[in-house]
Amino acid sequence: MASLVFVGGTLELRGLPEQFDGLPDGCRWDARSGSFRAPASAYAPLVLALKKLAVPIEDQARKYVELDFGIRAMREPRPFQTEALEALERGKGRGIVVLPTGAGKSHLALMAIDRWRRSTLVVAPTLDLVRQWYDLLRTNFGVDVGVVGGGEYTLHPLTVTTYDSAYLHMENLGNRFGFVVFDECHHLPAEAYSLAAQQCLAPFRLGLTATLERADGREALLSNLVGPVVYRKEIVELSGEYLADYDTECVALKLSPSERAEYEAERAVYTGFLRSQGIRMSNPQGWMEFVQRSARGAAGRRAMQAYRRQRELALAAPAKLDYLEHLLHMHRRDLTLVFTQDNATAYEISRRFLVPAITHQTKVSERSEILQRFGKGEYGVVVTSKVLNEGVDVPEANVAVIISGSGSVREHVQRLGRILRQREGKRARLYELVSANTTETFTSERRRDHAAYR
Amino acid sequence: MLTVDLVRATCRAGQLHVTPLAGKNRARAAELAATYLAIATDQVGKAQHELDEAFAAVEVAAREAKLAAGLVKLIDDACEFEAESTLDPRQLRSEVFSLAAATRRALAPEQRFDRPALLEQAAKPHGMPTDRLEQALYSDLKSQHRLLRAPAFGPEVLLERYDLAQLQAVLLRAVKITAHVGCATPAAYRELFRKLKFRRLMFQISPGPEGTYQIAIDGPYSLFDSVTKYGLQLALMLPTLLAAERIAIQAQLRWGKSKAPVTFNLERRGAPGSDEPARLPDEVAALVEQFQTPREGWTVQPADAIFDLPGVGLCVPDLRFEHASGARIFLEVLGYWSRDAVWQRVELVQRGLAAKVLFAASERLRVSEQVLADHPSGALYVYKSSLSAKALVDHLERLRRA
Repeated sequence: MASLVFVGGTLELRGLPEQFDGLPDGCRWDARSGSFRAPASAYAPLVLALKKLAVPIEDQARKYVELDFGIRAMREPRPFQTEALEALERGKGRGIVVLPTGAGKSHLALMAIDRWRRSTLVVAPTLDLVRQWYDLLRTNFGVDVGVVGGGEYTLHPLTVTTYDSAYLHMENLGNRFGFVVFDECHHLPAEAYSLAAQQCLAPFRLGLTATLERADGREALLSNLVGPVVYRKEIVELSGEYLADYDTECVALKLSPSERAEYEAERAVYTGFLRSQGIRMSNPQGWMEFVQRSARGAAGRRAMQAYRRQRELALAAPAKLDYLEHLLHMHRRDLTLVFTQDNATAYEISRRFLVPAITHQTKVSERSEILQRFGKGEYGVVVTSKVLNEGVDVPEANVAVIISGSGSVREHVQRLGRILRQREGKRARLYELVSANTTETFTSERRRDHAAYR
Repeated sequence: MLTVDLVRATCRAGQLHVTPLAGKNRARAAELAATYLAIATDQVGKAQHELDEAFAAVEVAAREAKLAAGLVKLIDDACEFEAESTLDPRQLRSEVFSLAAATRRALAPEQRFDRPALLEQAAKPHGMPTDRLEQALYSDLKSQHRLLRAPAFGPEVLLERYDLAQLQAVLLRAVKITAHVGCATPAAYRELFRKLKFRRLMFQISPGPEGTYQIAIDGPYSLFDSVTKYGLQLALMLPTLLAAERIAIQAQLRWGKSKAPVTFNLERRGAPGSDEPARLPDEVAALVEQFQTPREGWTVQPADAIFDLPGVGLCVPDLRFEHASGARIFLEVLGYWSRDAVWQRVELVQRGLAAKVLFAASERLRVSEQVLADHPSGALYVYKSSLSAKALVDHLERLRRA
């Protein structure tokens, strides 16, 4: 009898001769092992094809189980969640659902796990989200939940991991799950992460995202890795009814005369170097070219130093921190999240205002404690660098201050989403502190180029 | 290990050339290595960020920046750090930030948050000055860790590590390597294949020139796509490959931002110690001794064959027996290895090996010669305390006539 074995993220079909005909595309003869081989993701079509060819097989590959438990208390789903689940059913358990941050994507995933009831792996971009999924699954299903990542490796029929850990470990655990939820699935098309999706044999797959489109256009790959977009709703269609109302305010802050002088001088050094080298930053290769040439001589290194200093002046200007002091005082009875672009600024704010900071260096248990105490109102402020950008649930927060950030539209919308969880009578405020007349003004305009701001 | 961005290499006509540390450059690198090692020794007891700053203060020319960063990385990897443990910084943060939050919340509109007063209030129960409290607040951050021990090795050892680390870092971007290997002993080959298996790499063996073997190495998924997923495993294999007496490696890489396909070649002859004559294991040597004069027409010499059956396994015989009639039979001494090793050899024989092979296993493995009693191309010789030439010849004769 032929046998199907899971080997390092692939399926080995043993016991059939090289000349055997009729196997699906992607299943190839492998001379290294004297067997046929297919990517693990081809599991379902391969098993179906073998059935059709009447080839009896001993399936040693599939190690996932059907869950003998379901969700403990089903909350009344919102109409669009029911619609999305129906769309996924029509897609035979494979597909992507696009919903704005705060609309209840996680709840939809719980409904889907309950509907298909197979061992499930949830893949999320950050450890904060892993922690949140862990709590969510444990509370709703009332079972132990496994965690892979952040120094932990425990497997249970419901397990949560990060994209990075999925890339590292899928070759070992890709046969243990029948259903995979890719949270914030716009991350998945990155080359390494997409390999994780290929090395997993789960026949059922759900992708969740608020922002499907990627700067590199690779979202087209998602259809193959997860499934087609089966359901989509935009932020403007749900605002007010399902999300908190919100106001945004962009505050332009002037540099002091001495900062301004230093900013201009450093900027002149940097742009002078670009001109002398004929580097155009409007060109997509411009930045790389600058990095390479700046490493080649004293003038280049000086230009890089000047670039960093002028950027530092624009992003973490003392005027911003002074203004932040004013905002923290004004909102001293609110719950405020402060976002920075880098860890150094996050720690500077933490030390100056004596407020807790969460960066990638903060241990999972401490982050968890900080967010819990923030939720209870024991802490009024949490400052964070990029780590809280996506989907971390801080429904109690009603003020967000962006001290500095990248030009990425997605990052900005995700941050906004943080404070938009629905709550009765809640009106959220988002401040963005920008250094006036610096390149940061342009970055800010770029990041507000999204439906949510129009 | 170095990271890929620290590799000093140039790309010409699709070939990657690692810049060697030779001549003046090596002398200069030794100088830098000595400087950085001295700094590390000097900074014992200081915080990691202070060590980083001391490293950064060394003036290096722009063209030396990568070399310097590489040396620093290897020293940093060999340093031991520890967190200051007098006060629990997490507990301290919790106290200070809670106090600050409560104080801020209680402020009237016209009042201002008084940071120095708050720090004083927080420091009081610990009986410490406020600057000490501020210092302790984030003492668990990696940058605040204290250097406990600096590396004990000297500049020359560091440069040797650097040479190897550069080559390993190149392989981090490898999608496949093809190695022409000539090992001095069957044991060395077995070790090589054991490590490949341990690293869960896949390989295909074919005979190469001058008694060498060509081994193509990649991973299971490589059949479908050229992925760098196995780069780390390939890099970790490098020291084992370089231990071979003769080795030539051709690696296919995806290099640079554009992940352009380039090749990288590396050739070594005579690994350290390989000029010494190959030494047979004692029990095999004792057996060879007994065949100094032919026994019943059988002579013996070291084997140079590898028999691989994809999907089943491989065997690397120790000796090759030749009979006056022209018959050839190989011997692999399994000794005390494991019962699994014996069953795998039995399966190899049953699935059809390309030559006649006799396997010798100790009776402590509790296996019976009966499992291959009548097989025409393989036999099992179970011995008590040592290999006996007489018993061996009986098995050889049985196989020869089969």
